[in-house]
Amino acid sequence: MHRIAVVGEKDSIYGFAALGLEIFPVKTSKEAKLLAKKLIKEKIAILYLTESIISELYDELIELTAKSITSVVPIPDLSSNSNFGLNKLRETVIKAAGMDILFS
Amino acid sequence: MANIQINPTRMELTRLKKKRIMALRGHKLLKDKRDELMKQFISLVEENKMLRERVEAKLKNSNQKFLLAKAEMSEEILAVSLLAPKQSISIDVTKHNIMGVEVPKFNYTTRTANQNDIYSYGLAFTSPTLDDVVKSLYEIFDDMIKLAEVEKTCQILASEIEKTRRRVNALEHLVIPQAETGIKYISMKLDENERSTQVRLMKTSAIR
Repeated sequence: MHRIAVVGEKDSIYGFAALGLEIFPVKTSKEAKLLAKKLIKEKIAILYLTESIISELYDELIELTAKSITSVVPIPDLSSNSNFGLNKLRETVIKAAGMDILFS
Repeated sequence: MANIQINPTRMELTRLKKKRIMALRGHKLLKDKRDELMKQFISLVEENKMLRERVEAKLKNSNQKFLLAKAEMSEEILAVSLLAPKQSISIDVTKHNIMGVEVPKFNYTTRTANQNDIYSYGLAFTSPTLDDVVKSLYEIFDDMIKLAEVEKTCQILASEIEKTRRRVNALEHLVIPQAETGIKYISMKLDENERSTQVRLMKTSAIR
């Protein structure tokens, strides 16, 4: 059995606690980085991070989880409007296909 | 390529010919693998995009509702109501195989079967908006698990496709041409040797 964690600033993630997910409120992305690394080591299955926190860590975390089962997923937070997740998806497509075949 | 030293012997020739045949076979197989992976990848990516758009729209919506709920009640009550959940979710990870690439599959189970267990608080002191928030999060949750699974799969497939593409290109543009020039060089050299032996023999028999 594996766990699911939600990391982000308090107001964006509180609701998930009611569903029974583990929530970890953080304030800065530095804090989040340490926490995420720890959670990945503990073989967590899914790690949801809010956009404002993840934007600086995403590539590093993806590299870190490339060989493990952990799935790092950005989710929107209260203030975000950046389409971060979709942009990263586009990057993945470009990496695989050599060009943007999904959004053009 | 020309500066690579090859021994012009028959043994080397057979070795190179075998290598070329092997490389051709590998090239064909890897090319097929790449094409199939690409096919799978494209359908997965489309699913990924759809899921992400849906999840993001719904999450934004419930985030806004959460802000309202937060405004309607005190911080303490909010924390008390949410931070002691009745329900808990555990997840089961199984491996699934796409063209020899292992991707995870997530199956989640809730601790209790009762759907109302997501409301971990009494209704007396909380705002009804909070019920809305929790309910909408519960509804998105299925999609969120699916999103995590599909996104991870896409990442794994993308790096696998990249690797396979590199291999295909290396075989096509390096290994196979190298073997071919080697074969050509050796067979020409051997032919030349043969001709020179023949001429020498003819010359010597002419002298006698």
